[in-house]
Amino acid sequence: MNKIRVRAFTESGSDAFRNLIQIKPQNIRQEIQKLVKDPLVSKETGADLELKSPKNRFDLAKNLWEVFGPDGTLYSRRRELGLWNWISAAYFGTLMDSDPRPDLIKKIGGVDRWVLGGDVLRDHRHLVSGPFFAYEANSEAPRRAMCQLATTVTQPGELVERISGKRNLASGPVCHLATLMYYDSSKESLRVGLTTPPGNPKRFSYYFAQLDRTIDYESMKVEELIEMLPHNFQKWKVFAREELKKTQQ
Amino acid sequence: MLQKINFTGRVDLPMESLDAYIEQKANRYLLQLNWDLTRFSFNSKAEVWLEIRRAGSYEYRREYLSKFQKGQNVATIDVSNMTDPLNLRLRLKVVFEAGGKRLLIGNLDNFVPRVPQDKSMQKGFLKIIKDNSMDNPWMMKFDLGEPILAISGKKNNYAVLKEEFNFFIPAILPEVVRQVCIWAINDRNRENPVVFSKWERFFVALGVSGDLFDRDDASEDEFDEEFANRIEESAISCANEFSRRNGIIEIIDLAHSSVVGVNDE
Repeated sequence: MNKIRVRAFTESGSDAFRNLIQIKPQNIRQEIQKLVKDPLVSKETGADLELKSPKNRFDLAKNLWEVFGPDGTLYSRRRELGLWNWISAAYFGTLMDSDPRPDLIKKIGGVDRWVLGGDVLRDHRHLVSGPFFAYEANSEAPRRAMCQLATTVTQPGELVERISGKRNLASGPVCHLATLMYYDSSKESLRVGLTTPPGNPKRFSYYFAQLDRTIDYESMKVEELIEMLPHNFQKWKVFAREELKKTQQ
Repeated sequence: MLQKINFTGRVDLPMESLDAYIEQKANRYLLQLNWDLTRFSFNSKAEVWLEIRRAGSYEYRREYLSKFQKGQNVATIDVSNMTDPLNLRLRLKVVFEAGGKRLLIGNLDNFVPRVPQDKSMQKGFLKIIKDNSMDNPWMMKFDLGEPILAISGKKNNYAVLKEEFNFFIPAILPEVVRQVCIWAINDRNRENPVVFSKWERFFVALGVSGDLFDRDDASEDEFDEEFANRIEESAISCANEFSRRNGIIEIIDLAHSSVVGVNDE
């Protein structure tokens, strides 16, 4: 078990981390490791976190929930940017190892994936806090948010971008609906071909953007939302009904 | 001919329908609400709901306020448990159930409640330049991804407008805000990301929906007309909010009073 003492980056710590992600030096791993341990750019929080290689975003979120959830030591600090940035820096090596792709530059990707900037449009892309906040937003029944949590941490995919990126889709019955449609609970993975139209996540997001002006869908039951979906979602409606039946059995 | 379709007969409620402010009492934050929908003839079975979001996060609460009724209505909601109670966005919804659907028949979105100390006036980052070639007294220019307020330098125009008329800048600022808002939403190039991001945050803080800045170009073919309307509405309501929050009308009124005072002497 690899327990670490959680620290929080100071502003200069976050800046240094951002620079490393932007520049991507060859020895980035060592540099980040050095930064994580540097007492001049981070502060103690008093909390411990088990650093383990997560199977998927759900697994990571569940692990973080123990520390950042309502019963966790850092619950009141769960919106602190420096804290998340330090944790993602601490997770850097583990996450790089868990991604089988050979190209390190691709695996690292853009700054938004590692550094939380407090920007409403981009923060959902943060690889570590993104899954946690998706879990938190659906904490009454986190499995209903599998549309946002089923993929691997370093490759979240289009569905996550479409659902997590829109606050009105990221929680409640719409998020549950997206899970019923696009997540195969028996295989514990997203359905193959989900990005192919018709009825793909892009259309799903457009449909609810339109509906937002006419229907108070947040107060509707997922069963009602399924029946309301237009014909171009037919294939996914069938999956959704089947999945719903399974959960009701 | 373009035909507007409004399936639910939804009414976009004007900002004046709601007043909301955050009151700080000891360690608690109370959201004080006062709404008046007297001028609307909604069904008496309709329900009034409030959605509370913290700007820039997933945090979301939904509160039932009352059945629809005419006259002044008040409510107090304890928002102390939200992470940043001074940074909330409200949406007032009037909902009516018909045919198994919860129809949205009244809507007021992106309402920013007043907070104890509003320091939004201090966020000055608009570049102002003198342009000797302009025949127009002032105009907004957008150069290399940055909005610039250009004031003509012809004759004494610049000195008169910028330095002598102390109400000129405040008077045009809401219109500047409206124009920059439209530019920021439509601008896809983002040549100067630092400046763009400052403006984006500024507009989101004024209640513009963050989604507008992150629009997928591929959606243009589908919602062009609706999207254009949303931009226009958002820009106007943002300019109004800016003016209201910064007391622009009051500033001009004071400037006028002081000018009158000087003349009277």
